[in-house]
Amino acid sequence: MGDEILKQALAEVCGNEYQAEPFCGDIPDSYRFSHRFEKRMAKALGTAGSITVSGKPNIRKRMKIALVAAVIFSAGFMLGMAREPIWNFITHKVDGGSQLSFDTSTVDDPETSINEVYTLTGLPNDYELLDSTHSKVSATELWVKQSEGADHADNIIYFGQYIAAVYTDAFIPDDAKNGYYIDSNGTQYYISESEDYTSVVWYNGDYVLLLTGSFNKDEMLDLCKTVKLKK
Amino acid sequence: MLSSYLALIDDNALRSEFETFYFENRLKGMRAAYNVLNDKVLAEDALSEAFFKLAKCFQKIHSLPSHKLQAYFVITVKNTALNMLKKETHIETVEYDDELEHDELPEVDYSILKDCITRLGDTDREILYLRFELELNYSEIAAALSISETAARQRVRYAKSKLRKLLEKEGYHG
Repeated sequence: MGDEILKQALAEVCGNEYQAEPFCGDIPDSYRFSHRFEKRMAKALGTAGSITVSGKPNIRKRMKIALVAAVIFSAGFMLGMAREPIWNFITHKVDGGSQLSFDTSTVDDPETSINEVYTLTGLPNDYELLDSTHSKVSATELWVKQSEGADHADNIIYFGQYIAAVYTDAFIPDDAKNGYYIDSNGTQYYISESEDYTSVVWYNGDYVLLLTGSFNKDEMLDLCKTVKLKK
Repeated sequence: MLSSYLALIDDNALRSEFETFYFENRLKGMRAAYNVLNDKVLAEDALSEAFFKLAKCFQKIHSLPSHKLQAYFVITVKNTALNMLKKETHIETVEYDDELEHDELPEVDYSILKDCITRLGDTDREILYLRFELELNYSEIAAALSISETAARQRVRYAKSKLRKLLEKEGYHG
């Protein structure tokens, strides 16, 4: 008997066994992996606080510096809060700051892949889109001010869209000013202000969204409201 | 300690592909591991170990059709979980009979062949599936099952011999 016949027989007998979803009542579709597992996998995949920028290492380094202020640690400092947080972070204290991971247990049915992509629409006309990425778990845009090029950190706006499970281990230094805020529409924002950057993180019901740039807090919050679905 | 999986994969496009595969299949892998271990903590450990193994050979096997890559992954998860279970429960493994050298299969009725495949043990069926349906080489099989390449060769030969014996019992001889 030739191997081809054996191959075909094995495919017919075993195909369903290994390809079908194994039944397991204790692991439903809504199963939430432990924080320990998520953290380990995020670290192993290198997705914690990740950013993909093509080409210019100086921009990557500057954006990483910007991203250290990209998440909010709310303990002891609230802006205009009159009620419990709508969503929250899991926080781990580390040297020099804290590591924050989006707590997926505080939201219902977060998206598990990027099914639709959002974009910034409210930037001034002299900003151009320098780079964008899109994967199953994240989508990002890097905008720079056209006239002065991409080497100046204060001309950069970074917008990130992530599935909640991937937004883990973002570092925020102790000296950043942090707080959170709920607007009149009920959207909760976390705001981190450092010397060079302001970062805002929010959850739109499906994805974690991040905006980082050199505008002040009010300008950044206005910019957040211009995020729309990409056509 | 598990180091970065992506450091095992040179190509950026492949890294993205691996990341996508991870998010699309981790729940399936978790179920496969839990079905063996019945413990969520251990199952998550087995799952992360299985992804590490997958990362090590991803550059070789990523071009498999997606359903075959999933099958490979599930087999890897199951075997990783079984290895953990063996460590936990000190299950003795069966020694192989080195006299089982004949592995040529006779010409048989196709339905009889399928029936005999069904009657093989899980381990034997799995290794034949990896070798003949997924067409993996012995180093790739060894990576999935956490065994040496030599052991992988021996297991394939042994499994084929056991299939031959089943076929002979049905009256088919080579």
